[in-house]
Amino acid sequence: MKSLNFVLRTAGLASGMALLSIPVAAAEADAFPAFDTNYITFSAGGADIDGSKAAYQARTRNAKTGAAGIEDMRFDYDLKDKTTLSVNGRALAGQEDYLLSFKLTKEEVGSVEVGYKTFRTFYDGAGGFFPIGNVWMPLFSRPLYVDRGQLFVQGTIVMPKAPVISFKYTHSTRDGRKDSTIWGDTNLTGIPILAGPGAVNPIAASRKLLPTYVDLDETNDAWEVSVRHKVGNTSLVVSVGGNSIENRNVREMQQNIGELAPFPAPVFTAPTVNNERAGSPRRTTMTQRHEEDGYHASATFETAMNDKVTLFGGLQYHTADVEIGLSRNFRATIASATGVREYAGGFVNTGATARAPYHVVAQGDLEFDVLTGNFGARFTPSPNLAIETALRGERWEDSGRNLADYSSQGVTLATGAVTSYAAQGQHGVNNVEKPWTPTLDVRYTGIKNVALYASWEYRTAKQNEHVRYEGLNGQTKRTELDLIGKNIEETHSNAKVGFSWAINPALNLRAELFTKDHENDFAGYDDVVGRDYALNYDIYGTKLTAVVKPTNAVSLTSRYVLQRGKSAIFHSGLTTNGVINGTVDGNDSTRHNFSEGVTWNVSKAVYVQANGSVVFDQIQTMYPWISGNAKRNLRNSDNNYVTADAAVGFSIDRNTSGLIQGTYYRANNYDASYAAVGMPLGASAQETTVSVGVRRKLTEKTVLSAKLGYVDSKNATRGGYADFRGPLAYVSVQHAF
Amino acid sequence: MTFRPRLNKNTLVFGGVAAWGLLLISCVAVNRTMLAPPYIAGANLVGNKGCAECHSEVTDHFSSSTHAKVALAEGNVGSTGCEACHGAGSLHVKAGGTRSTIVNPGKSPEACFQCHLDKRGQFNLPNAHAVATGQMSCSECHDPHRGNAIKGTGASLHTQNESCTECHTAQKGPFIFKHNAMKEGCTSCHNPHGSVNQKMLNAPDSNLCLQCHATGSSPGQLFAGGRDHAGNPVNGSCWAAGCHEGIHGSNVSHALRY
Repeated sequence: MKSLNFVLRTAGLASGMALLSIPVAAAEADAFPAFDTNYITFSAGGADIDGSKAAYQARTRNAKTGAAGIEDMRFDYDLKDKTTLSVNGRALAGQEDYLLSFKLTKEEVGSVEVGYKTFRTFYDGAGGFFPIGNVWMPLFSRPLYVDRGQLFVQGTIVMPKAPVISFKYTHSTRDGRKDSTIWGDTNLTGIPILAGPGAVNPIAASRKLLPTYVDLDETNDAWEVSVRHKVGNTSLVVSVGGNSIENRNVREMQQNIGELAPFPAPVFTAPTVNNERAGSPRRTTMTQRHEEDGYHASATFETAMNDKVTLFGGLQYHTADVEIGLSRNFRATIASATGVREYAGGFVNTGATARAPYHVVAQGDLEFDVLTGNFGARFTPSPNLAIETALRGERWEDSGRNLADYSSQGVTLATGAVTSYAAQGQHGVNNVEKPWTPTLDVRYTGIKNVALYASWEYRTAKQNEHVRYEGLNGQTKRTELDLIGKNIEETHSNAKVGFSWAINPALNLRAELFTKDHENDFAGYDDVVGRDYALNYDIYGTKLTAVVKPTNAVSLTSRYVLQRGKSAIFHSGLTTNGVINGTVDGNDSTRHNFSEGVTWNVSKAVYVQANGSVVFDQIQTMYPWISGNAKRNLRNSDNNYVTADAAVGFSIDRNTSGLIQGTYYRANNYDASYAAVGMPLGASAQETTVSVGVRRKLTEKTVLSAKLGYVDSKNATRGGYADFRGPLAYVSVQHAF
Repeated sequence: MTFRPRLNKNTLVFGGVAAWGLLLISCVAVNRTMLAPPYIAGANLVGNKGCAECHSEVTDHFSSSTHAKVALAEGNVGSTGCEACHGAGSLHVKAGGTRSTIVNPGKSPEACFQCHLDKRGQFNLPNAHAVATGQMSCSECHDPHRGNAIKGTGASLHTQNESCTECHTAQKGPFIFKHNAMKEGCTSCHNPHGSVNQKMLNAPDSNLCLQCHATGSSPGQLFAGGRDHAGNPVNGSCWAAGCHEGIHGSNVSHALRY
């Protein structure tokens, strides 16, 4: 019955489409006014959302409160002496999306522009959903958003027959809180805990579900002055600049919140099902500071030797000093014989092998110097053949040190005695890397209506990295050898070949084959002499595109992208019990992306646009060849999805247009059964939006737009706790002066 | 009583009929030209030479660009590489360069999506840069006019990661303890155009890491590096709290913990 309904509806739609295809006699176009300047657009929009407003904000980037204000404005004033002042602006309160810029342009002199812009991105602060116990723990009720702002001053001096001077200063900020996927542990999963006699901590119920967030406080001041000039057949560009980065980001991580391992520990007879809360609640506040002052200078040239040969090249030097600092403020709540208390770096002291989660404070500095150069030639031996070859070389050097103070408190539960541990570790790095990259590009158009092209680059790098590590192993400082070296060799070959063929005005075909063959070899891996780790991965695939225009009114674009990836990993020198040295398959991934786009100008008064993508994406790593519990706990990673959107634009009368739009998204990679043995779960969701809009010319200088819509989003990965639905409304008035 | 509109079969059928009715009316009642974006109504091709008269600083280098490789000459106007993305330019030339007579992909990604259909789908995913909503543009990471469209590749003086770390400075480093995956590029783990997974990750789980860190293992074991992790996927991802949280690099932890 369902299929019959589908057929009837499809037939109805087809009849409608056929009717629409009947050609209509053309008349004079009566286009809507398109305002270039001296206009302002006021708008307001909002939604009445039922469900998770946080998820609505994160998904649609719209504020749950709605937004109103100036959506767009531009004014140009002609001042005297061939000078123009342009003012651009936007001010959407609620959305916190603002822009104001002033640009002064004087003919044959140049321009200068000053402005500020900012926009807000929302996050929903969600952690993981655990389907077995229907567990959803939204720990943070505070709003999560980041405002990205930039103050900018830029200009260009363009005097006749003089060097072109450009300058730019930006002060960029990222400020606010955003969520993170570094989720914390919980035992409150609803899974019965099988505990042995005397066991306190659960062994199977813990899942990392608890949401975390990062408080961002980042600024980046950057400036650059460049001079561009042409002398004879040579174009020269010289630039100097610098930047100053100040980041102080705070990450809030929580583990086992709402739990407390009881003391004295309950005694069970195995096997005993225990649903008692059994963790040590832990809160970690991690602050990272990064203050960087850097400078760079570069010079490039391009010289046309003759009609057939052009040489080009350049040099760039970049240096920076970085101050680093961090603190990991770690506090655990533990029940012992002396009661329930909070301890800095606290852990249950079960003896010398106890692994302490340390409280850390560290401070240090880094510096890096990068010298990069390139040189190449562009040949055009015939009008149909272009060859470009170049060589890039780089010397990267960075070094740094960091002094860390570790401390922790081990609690002996039976007595409540606290043993304080403290150690100091000096970390350091000296790293030098020298990559060389030759490249070759060829383009040939000697065949009528065909463009053939190929490109290749081959990067080889030798890197010597020495690190010093004095971290902690158990309760005491690890006696790490100083400055153990790691010799790294890279060989990266990237190539592609393709063509574009305009078979006739109605059909254009494009095809491209691409491949990447990368090998990275790490001798001395993990700071152990004689240990070797080599990663060899190959990526290859194709992009096929067809543009079909069966009539002047219809254009269809089809694209298929296939990407396959495989990696082989070699280890030697590993001595841990159970490890097998040799080569294994690390990765076997496949992605098929089918996309289709249709544009149909049905008549002079109607157009239809529709686009869709269907993607099959799977990443497979160790699952095929491991066994036992290891295999039980791992799955291939599926990342499949479907997206589609469609729009129908049409004229209603001489002064009114309509627009009907719809979008669709579906992913179905969620496997609830996997929750019993693994986390996190794949993404599954289904979303639909529809909207109907009108645009009406009220006068020659005033245009009114309005849109009504509806959104429906269901998110299975979050157990329905992030679902939302509701009507949307938007109205705007644009007026020109 | 609360009105709760639902997208059911009736809504779609009646809504669809109403919409098609409106379209039919419009077909017979009006003749005003409606063109699907990003086209310019009434404009014709003029060829690259017309563009070079004012935009030589762009057209001078266009032959080195990725897009120039697929551009073909058309009719009497020669190469139309510029207009393939910016729309037919005759009205723009006639008007002396006004903004409303030309397509600016820097303001809207529609022009890019005409060919890069797969990217349109990716930008519509729940985890993507804000290109579809207009707060970012394709040209912030890609240079369509000169050299490789993916900035920092080939023999460029810059590096590919600079496109990302220009904004994401906290992930830039350098760090004392590096994650060498960063040298392969941010795209080793993230899809900057969009992903079904949070943080635009290529995979939501441990497979993301095991692609490079798998080690031969005895039965029942799952070695990554020098340690058996067989029990860890039960709890969560490799980068979850208490594990390798400092995945972009760390200044205190050899094992990339914070």
